Formats: sequence, structure tokens, C-alpha cells
Amino acid sequence: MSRRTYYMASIILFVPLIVWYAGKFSTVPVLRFVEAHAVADSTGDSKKVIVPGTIVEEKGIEEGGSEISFYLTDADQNVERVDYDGSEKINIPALKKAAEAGQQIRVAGHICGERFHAKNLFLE
Amino acid sequence: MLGDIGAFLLALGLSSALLSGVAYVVHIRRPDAQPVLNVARSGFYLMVFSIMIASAILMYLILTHQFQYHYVWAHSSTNLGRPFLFAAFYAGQEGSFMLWTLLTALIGVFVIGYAERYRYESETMSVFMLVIALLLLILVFDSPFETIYAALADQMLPAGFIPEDGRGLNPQLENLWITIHPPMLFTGFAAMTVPFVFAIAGLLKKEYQRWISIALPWTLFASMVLGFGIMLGGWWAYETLGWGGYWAWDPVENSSLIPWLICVALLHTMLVQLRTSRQVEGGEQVRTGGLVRTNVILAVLAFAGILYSTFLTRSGVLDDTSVHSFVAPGDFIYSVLQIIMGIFLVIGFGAIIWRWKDLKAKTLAMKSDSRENWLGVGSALLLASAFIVTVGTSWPILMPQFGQPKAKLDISFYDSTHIWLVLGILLINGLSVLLQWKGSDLARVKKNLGVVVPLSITATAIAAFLGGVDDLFFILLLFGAFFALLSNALQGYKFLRKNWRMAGAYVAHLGLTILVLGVIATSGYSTTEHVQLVEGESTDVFGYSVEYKGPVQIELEKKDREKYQHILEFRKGGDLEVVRPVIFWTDFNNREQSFLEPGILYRATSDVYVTPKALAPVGGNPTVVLAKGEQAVVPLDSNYSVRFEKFDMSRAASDSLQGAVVEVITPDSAFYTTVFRRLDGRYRMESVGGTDLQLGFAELQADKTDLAKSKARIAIASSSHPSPPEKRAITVDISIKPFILLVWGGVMIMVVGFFLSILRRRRELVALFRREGADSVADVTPEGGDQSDG
Repeated sequence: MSRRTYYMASIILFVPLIVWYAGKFSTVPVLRFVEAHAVADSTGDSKKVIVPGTIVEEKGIEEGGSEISFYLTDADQNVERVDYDGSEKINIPALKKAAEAGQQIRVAGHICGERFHAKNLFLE
Repeated sequence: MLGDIGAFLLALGLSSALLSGVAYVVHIRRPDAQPVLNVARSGFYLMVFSIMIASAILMYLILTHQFQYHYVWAHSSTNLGRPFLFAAFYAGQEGSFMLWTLLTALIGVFVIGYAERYRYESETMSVFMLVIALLLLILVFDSPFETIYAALADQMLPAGFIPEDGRGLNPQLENLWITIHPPMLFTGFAAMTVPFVFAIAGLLKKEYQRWISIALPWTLFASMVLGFGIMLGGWWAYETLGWGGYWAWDPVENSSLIPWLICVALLHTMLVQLRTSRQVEGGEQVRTGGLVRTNVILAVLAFAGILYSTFLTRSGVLDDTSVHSFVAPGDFIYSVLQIIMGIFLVIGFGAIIWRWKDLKAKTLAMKSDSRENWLGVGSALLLASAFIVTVGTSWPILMPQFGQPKAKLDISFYDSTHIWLVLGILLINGLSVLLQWKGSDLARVKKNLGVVVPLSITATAIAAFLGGVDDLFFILLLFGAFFALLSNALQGYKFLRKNWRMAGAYVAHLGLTILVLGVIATSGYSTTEHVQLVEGESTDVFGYSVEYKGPVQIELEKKDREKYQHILEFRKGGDLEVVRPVIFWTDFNNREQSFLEPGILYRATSDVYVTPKALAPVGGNPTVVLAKGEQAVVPLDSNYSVRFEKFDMSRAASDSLQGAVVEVITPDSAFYTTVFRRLDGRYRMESVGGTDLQLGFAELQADKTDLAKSKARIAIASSSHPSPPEKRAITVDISIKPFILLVWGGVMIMVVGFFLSILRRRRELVALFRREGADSVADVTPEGGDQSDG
């Protein structure tokens, strides 16, 4: 094989290898609210976490400017207020539908005092 | 009025840049049309003039505190000193684009004459003008001359409203480093345009060899300035940011590192092309050297790296993953930068694809024992590093594309990959300088290795023994660093005796190896102790007796802040030295969070680095923090409990007192009492009738979003269980940073090496073009058989 073939093969192997390897260093922990608070308290900074849960439909979904707020019940049945101000525009009707159906969502963000400051919302 | 003139000049600059660019394109097609060339040049100089005057106006507005302009209001204030007012010019997004544009235009003044001399003017300047035009386009739409009424239109400011003072700089930026680091970095950004435009010009002119010689001094310049700028940022971080290091693989740091790595790889592959261009093939002299395609691709990628870096840091896409808090999100910049990146990638790769078949090295295959072969491998490792850093830095924007939350990679990703890459780069560097161009005399290489390898092993063993290095990776890295250092010292010495200008590359490589030795020492062998220092008491740390002497308020004239130096006396033997870490609060963040600055004892062999962490008194009365309705057992006497009933604000207006109604629960009864604190925070312990308790309302912890959740901190004393007296205390991390001086020294030596190389390449270029004559487009590879690659 020519030297060029070796180089091309190296590049083809190298790129996915690095992406796969990087994936091993990118872990946002999936936690419950109690654990998320414990992480924030123990590290002293607001580590990014994911909390899965369902929206408390009775308390509604508030829209205020670029922020959306609602209450989320986690697996321990703990309820916390979630403020979302991420860059991605959220489809409010879809979110309301998820709340009505009791569909699980995931919020990714930080504990901020007694609230959860979300930067991403994912419908399950 | 002045702002309108500034905005007009930016628009004029944009128009003249476009006019100049179009005229240059016409001139490429009609090279004899002198009037067209005159229009192009006039447009260029008009653009430079417009940007310079617009920049001067912005500076004037800042210096004269014209807060009716949003940019001036947002980034400066009346209490800023003159150096920081100058720095306010580029403290914000619009200003930093302005500085970049200004520096690019000023570099253009040098490039236009340089390109004209080598008959590259129209081809280079047409692309150069497009770069400047797009930078000006950003400034026209995201103008630093926008008035505060326009910028804050939604706040319905009254007509003619001018704020009394500005918001000022982010206090963490109020450091003399801000006057050096950003201008240096932006000069590097601006200089990186030059290899790109010459590469495109080379493709347009089908001069695939000639552009290399012309662009090489500029590529060296861009590498030198950008590299120095990056490291100045590290120096700044080390001295002022208080997180204890100089490099954190932060996305903003990485985004400057990526183009630098590509640029350094490029200059090595340019050398390969230059050095392999005079091969003899079948008795015929041929011109184009090896890696001809690689060089144009890397020139495009290095410039694209600069744009990508700007995109990452200025669009706000990394806003919650970077410690650089001065990045500001903006949809406009996000879109414009994507478009600009797209335009230049299309131009760059379009030109490469257009000439792809022509882009062939007309040279012999590289021998495996030649220097050029190993320079190519070394460059591949540099590019691998650039790719790894790109993947890591882009991770927060890649993940949402796959339905995952935005997440930053743990920095161990970079460390674990680079430990191998750096080792490889050091070994290849050490080996390649011992090899010769176009094939080596193996006996001579063996002889040199016979000197360098045993010396490297000995140096590694001594350093490992003295430094207590027992980690295999670090021992390997030490060997790699000493191997490269000694190889370069050996070769560099030979060239230094002949001609000092020829030693540039060896000096730069020596700087790199010294830098790596410093990185090994500081990252692997720094030690830290977390200690609480109580005022007036001595604590032994790292052989020092450390005593906290208390705080001293500084910068009293600045009313927007409360800044304290905390005096720590370090005694060892009979010597006394003072370290002054700083903790301060400012109105910039409404005093919600303190800012920390480290204190450093500079030493030749190891710095003592003190990072302040917290201020918390020891002793004194214990406190409990209670929300409404919450109850706690009294810490001093478990017979009693206290329950926080509610706040009492009835005396707030009349007596400036806030009250907390507390229920005291004794074994026999329960009753309410109200304790007060002044609005300035002072409070008095008040006796609770029928008990030996005293209570005080120490703090109101307001929840601004939901006042009902606000809490009270209640101080409790007991006459039967007296508390120890309260003393000031500061919690700090004290670190020993061994051989940090090698990091800074290594960078400075690298800069000197780059500078020597620029001088050499410049002289060679001038001499060669003088020889070949003005009309010739012949090969410009230097004559002579020297083996240096500086």
C-alpha cells in the first residue's frame, strides 16, 4: 500500500475513534431533585444535571418573555419549580399536551437556589 | 453627532472595501487597466482611513464618558483609570470586532505593498477586502455607535436621557493584562488572514510553489503573535482569576488554540514544500515541492479556525459552558458568523477543488529517513491535536444535534489524549532536527543520537530523582522533552556559530521543550493544602509559618466596590514575606457574589500560590437559618428550641429596623419575642425573658423571586453556655507551583525563535527575488545546502 493509503486509513479511523472517546468524557448525570441539590451543595457550584419527571398540570405552564416556568414531579414525587430560558424555542402546545398526558420529560440544567434552571427540555 | 459620524464612517468603510475588492477582481481579469488598480488602491486607503477615524471617535467617546452611547455606557465608567478606558474599547462584542477590523486594516497597509512587490496585489487584496468588508458588515449592523435610547428602546427611556455613569468594566477585567492580551490575540487573528489570502492568490495565479516563499514570513508572524497572545491569557488567568492555573481547556482558550495549532502545522508543511521543490527528476529541474495540496488546505483551515473561534466565543453558543463570563449571546452574530464561515470555506475549498488536478507535487517521494518526512508526521500530530481540541470544544454544540443536553467535556479528555500527542511531537521534533533534508547520512544520525539519547536518559533520571517523579507518563514526557531539548541545542549551537539568524527554529523548539518541562512540573507536581487561617494565629503549611493579619480595604476611592486585601505573613527561618489575596464585591453583579484574586509569592524554582476561598468567622455565637414556620433546637442548649414565625417590618420606615418574630419553646412553655436588625446589617443580642438565652436577628436572606420563602438567620447566645469569642478567619488553598517560571520562560524563548525565523525568511525572500528579477516567476527556494529549518 502507498503512504497516501496509510494516511487516508489513519484519518478514517482517527475521526470516529476520537468522537467515540470524547463521548466517554461527556456524562451529564441523570438524577432526582434531592440528588441534584446534594451535588450542587457538595461541589459548591451548579453542576449540570438531567432530571426526568412529569409536569404538574394543575399548576400550569407560565410563559414570561423568553422564559417558561412550570412545576415538575420527579421519581421521588418531589415537586420543584423549573425555569427554562434555553436558546431553543419550545413548542408550548406540545409541552401542555405532555403535561395533560402525564408524559415524562427530561430537564437539563442546574439547581439554582430552590429552583431548577433548565437550559434544555426533552420530551421522552 | 460624533456617533453618527462614526456609524457613517463604518458604512463608508464597507462601501469602499467592496468597491476596492470589486476593482481588484476586475484588475485580475484586466491586468493592464491601471485606472482600475488606482480605484482599488484608493478604495483600500479610504477604507483604512474610515476605520481609523471611526476607531478614534469610539475611543474619544469612551475617554469623554459619553454615556448616551450604549457601548460606552455598557463597558466604561467614570471611575476607570486611563488604561482601562483604553481597554473598554474592546471589552465588549462590538468593540472587539472593531479592534479586529482595525488591526486587519492596518496589517493590510503592510500587505498591499508586500503583495505589490511580488506581483500578488490584485489576487491577495481582492480576498483581503472581502474579509474586511464582512467584518465591517458586522459592525454596521452591530454598531458600537448605537445610542442608549435605540439599544434600550423597550425601556422607554425619556428623550435626551444620559446616564450619570456607565456600568464599567467587568471588575475581573480591571487588570493591566487587559491592555496587552486582547490586542495581541486580535493581531494574531488579523495576521492569520495573510497566509489565507496568499494561498488563494497562489491558486488563482497557478503559482503553487511561489506563494509558499512569500507567505512564510507572515505565517511565522501569525504563529508568533497568536501563540504569544494565547499564553498572555494564561498568564493573566494565573495572576488574577484565582482558579489556580494558567490553562483550563476552557472553550474560549481552546478556540484560539485550534487555529494556532493548524498554523504551526502549516508552517512546517510549508517548509517541507519549500525544501523539496528543487528535486531532480529524470535530470529535469522541477519546481513544486511536496505537500502542495496539504499547504493550501491548511491555509484555508487556519483562517477558518479563526472564524470558527470567533463564532464559538462571540455568538453565545458556549454561554453556559465557558468560564469567560464576558461572552454575550446574539442571534445576529450567530447567523452572520455562520454565513461568513460558509463564504470563506466555499471560496477556499472551491479554489482548491478548481485547481485540484494541477496541485501536484513534482518531486521525488520523500525518503523515510529525510527531515521532510518526519516534519510531515509531526505536522500530522499537530493537526490531530487541533482536531481533538475542535471535537472537545464543539461538544456543547454537537450534543444538542443528537438530542442530548448541552454538555462540556471533562478536561481529562484533553489531558489523556495530549499526553501521548505531546510525547510524539517531542520525539519527532528531536529526531527530525538530527535528520537531513532529502535523506540522511545514517552514520552521522547515529553518532548524534549516541550523544543525545544517553544525555536525555541521564537528565530524565536526575530530574525524576530530584523531583520525585514516579509516574511512567511523566517520566516518558520528561525523556521526550529532554530529547527534543538536547537535539535542538546540539543543532542550534552549530548554526548559531555560523549565523545566528539560522537558529530561529532551534530556539523556538527549545522554548517549546522548556514550556513542556514547566507544564509537566506544574500540572503533575503542584501540591495544594486547603486551610482555614484564623486572625492572629499561626498555621504551618509547606514549611512556612503562616499568620493571617486581617483585611485591609483598598481602592477606597472607588465607591462601586468593597475590596479587601487579606494580609498573610509567611515566615520561614528568619525570612518574612507577605502575600495579599484579594476578595471583593462590586455593584457590577449587584454584590451578589464575591470576586477572588490570588496572592502569589514568586520564586525561581516554585511559586507559593494562595487562592482565597471564603471568609467565615470562627467562634462567636452560633446561628440557625430558618424559613417561616421552621424550628430548630438551640445549638448551645438542647432544652430550648426556636421557631421562626414571620418578619416584622413595622419599624422599617420609621427606625430603619427589620424584625423577626421568633417563638421560643422551653420545656415548660412557649412564647414569642421579636428581635431586630438595622438595615445596614448591624444587630444586637437581646435577652429573652425567663431564660438564659439571648437572640439576635443576624441576617435576612431574601428570596427575590418569592419573598414568602425568605429566611432569617438567628444568632443565639446563652449565659450558661458562653460562646468562644468571634475571630476573623479566611479559608484559602495554598499551592506550591514548581518551576512555573519554565512555562513563561519557554513561551518567551519560543517568541524569540519565531522572531529570528521571520528575520531569516524575510532576508532570504528579498535576496531571492532580487536574484530572480522582477519579471520572473521561477522557483524561489533558497539556494545552498544548509540543513536548518528556521
